[in-house]
Amino acid sequence: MKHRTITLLAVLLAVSTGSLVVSVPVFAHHGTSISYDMEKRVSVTGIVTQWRLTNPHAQLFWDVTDEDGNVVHWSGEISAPFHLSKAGWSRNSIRPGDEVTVILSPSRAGTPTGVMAEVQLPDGRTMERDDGRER
Amino acid sequence: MLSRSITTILTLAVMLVFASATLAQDRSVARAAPNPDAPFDPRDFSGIWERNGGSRGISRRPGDDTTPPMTPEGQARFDSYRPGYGPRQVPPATGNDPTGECNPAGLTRALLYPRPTQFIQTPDLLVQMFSWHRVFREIWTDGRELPENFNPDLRRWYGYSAGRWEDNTLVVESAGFDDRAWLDQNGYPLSEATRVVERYTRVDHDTIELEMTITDPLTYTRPWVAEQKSYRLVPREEVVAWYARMTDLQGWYGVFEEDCAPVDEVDNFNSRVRDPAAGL
Repeated sequence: MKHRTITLLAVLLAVSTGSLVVSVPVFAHHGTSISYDMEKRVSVTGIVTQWRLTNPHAQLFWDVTDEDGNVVHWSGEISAPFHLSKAGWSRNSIRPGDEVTVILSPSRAGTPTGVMAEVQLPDGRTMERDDGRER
Repeated sequence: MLSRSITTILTLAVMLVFASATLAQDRSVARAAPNPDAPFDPRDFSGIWERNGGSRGISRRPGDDTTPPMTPEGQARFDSYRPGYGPRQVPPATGNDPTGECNPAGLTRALLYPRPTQFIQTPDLLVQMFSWHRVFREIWTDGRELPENFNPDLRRWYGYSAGRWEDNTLVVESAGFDDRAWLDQNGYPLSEATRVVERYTRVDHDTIELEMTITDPLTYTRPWVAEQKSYRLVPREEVVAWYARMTDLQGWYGVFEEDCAPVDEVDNFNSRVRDPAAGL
């Protein structure tokens, strides 16, 4: 009984948290659905090399190193600084050396770049693409 | 026992979802309560307004039946424009939208972009200060009229505008446009013959409605009546809250700066993100 309860709880929690990821609204922006495969969501963890809160869209650059030491340089774009800063994010919110997990829709070209739905930061906070927008 | 467990589980799940939503909302500045019934002067547009109705296009849906047929010259120019939005959108890296490299948006696109705009009004002049690209546009209300034709050397991205009151509607006529600007983000062209008429009516304390008609016989075979757009008056306390959240600047009020500069930062974005996104 207890085991069943825990299983149920786990399933419900998984569904609940999962729904948070998949329910992020897809916003139509500059060539977004053409450049990126908005049907896909992938998670990429790596070490930040640069965070640029600049127009027209904020950008994050991070490196992913595999077991053999090969480094892939990832890049991603997210909302306009106007929205992100209205939500309290700043140029210092992400720093080089931070380990981040990025949930993104990858480029259709198959390159290591994407439009980011969220960036999970080392301090437990998560930057979301719709931050600062009215919901 | 089972029902109690399920109740507990469901409660926890609901709390989790609710807590997540609350956390998310915490990051946004809440809209101040609307106040449409407050007294107002229908001929006073002073304040910071933000678009709250209508699309970013001249027509609600590009190419719908409100979109006029084009002349051969207009069609050729339309075909040469590769926008990053709408049904003809291409990856920005392969497009030619002037704003993609931070060239000026031009008047109609500034009006159509949903960002706060401050209206500064004097007896002879109304100035619209746009946060997006941090540009301004002046509407002269001192009785002057626009010439029928402009010397091409004088044409400019934001044109020339003169306004007059018809009852409580401000009617603004504009001409003298630089034809490198686009009418909207969907890649509809304008020409040096374009004339724009905007009709602004403050319908209540909180709302200005904008009706716009574009006439350009070189490009379109009939006048183009735009989808009606509307603006919401952003209450002072809401703007102050935005600044406090954005910059930790307390008590500040004013237009924002959403400038696409310096150019090398934009080049950097294009070369490091948009180009690889398009496989270039």
